[in-house]
Amino acid sequence: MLASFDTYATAETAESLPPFAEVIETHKGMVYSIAWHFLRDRPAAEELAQEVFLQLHRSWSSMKSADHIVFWLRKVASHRAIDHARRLKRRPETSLEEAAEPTTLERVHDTFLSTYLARIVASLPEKQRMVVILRYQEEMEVEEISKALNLKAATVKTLLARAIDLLRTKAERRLGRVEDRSQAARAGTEL
Amino acid sequence: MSPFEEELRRALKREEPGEDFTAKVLAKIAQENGSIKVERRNILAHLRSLVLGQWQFAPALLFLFVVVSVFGYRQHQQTLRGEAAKEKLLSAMHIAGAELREAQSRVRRIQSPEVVVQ
Repeated sequence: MLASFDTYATAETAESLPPFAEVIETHKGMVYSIAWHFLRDRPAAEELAQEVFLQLHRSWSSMKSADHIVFWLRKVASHRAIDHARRLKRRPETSLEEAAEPTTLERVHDTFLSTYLARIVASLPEKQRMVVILRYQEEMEVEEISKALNLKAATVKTLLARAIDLLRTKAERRLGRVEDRSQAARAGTEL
Repeated sequence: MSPFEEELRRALKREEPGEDFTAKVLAKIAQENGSIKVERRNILAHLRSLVLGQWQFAPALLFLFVVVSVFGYRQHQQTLRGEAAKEKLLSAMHIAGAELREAQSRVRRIQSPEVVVQ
């Protein structure tokens, strides 16, 4: 559902907000995962998520509704993650070439592919990376992403299309290699 | 959504942070609130010590107060003297003006043709 600050403002009153501890429990996975998928550093992601909730506590009086809280958390978590990465000039811990390669097709599909995809997402440029995370982790619409990241909707669409193309090319290239190796390994055992 | 996008969605599924995450956040909030209170208390104590605790500066402050007071009193006296002088001048001018008018009227009476010489 597409929503902006204005619509949140009229949706509910501040009195109807859930208790703060409940908000943390409900949304900690969302905030932590945005940071984790972006930074690929669990301690840094947890620290960042805690800071986001601290900031939410400081801004609690300006929260208008439960939807507003979700929008606010996504927006602040995204911006903080981008700032954090820029500040540390963090690079993805594992480059495409360093990613471990499995030897069987089953593992490729069950575990490796997801891990590999998450890793290559983390190797994308900052804006593309955050757009992909908000689109596929949070299942946000383009308009919602554009509001959260202060970007034009057309820019978000372009970033998303480029990111998908890049990810698909890399994944196909790597999976092709994996399948070749798997077939070679199978042929070796048969011989 | 294409199969590749479905894979992407699976790869980017949400994960939960450590079990003590909420407790850590609440502890940080409590710590922050506590530090704000302590900071306010420190500022007040500092101000109080500035005002009340610096007795060694009391004679200097008293001297400064006396000097300022004497200077202010003198200024005030000077202003009062000026006001009084102004009042005297105005009064003198008023009297002189009245005497002048009286003299003029006498001269006019003397020179008047209606006066009959016997």
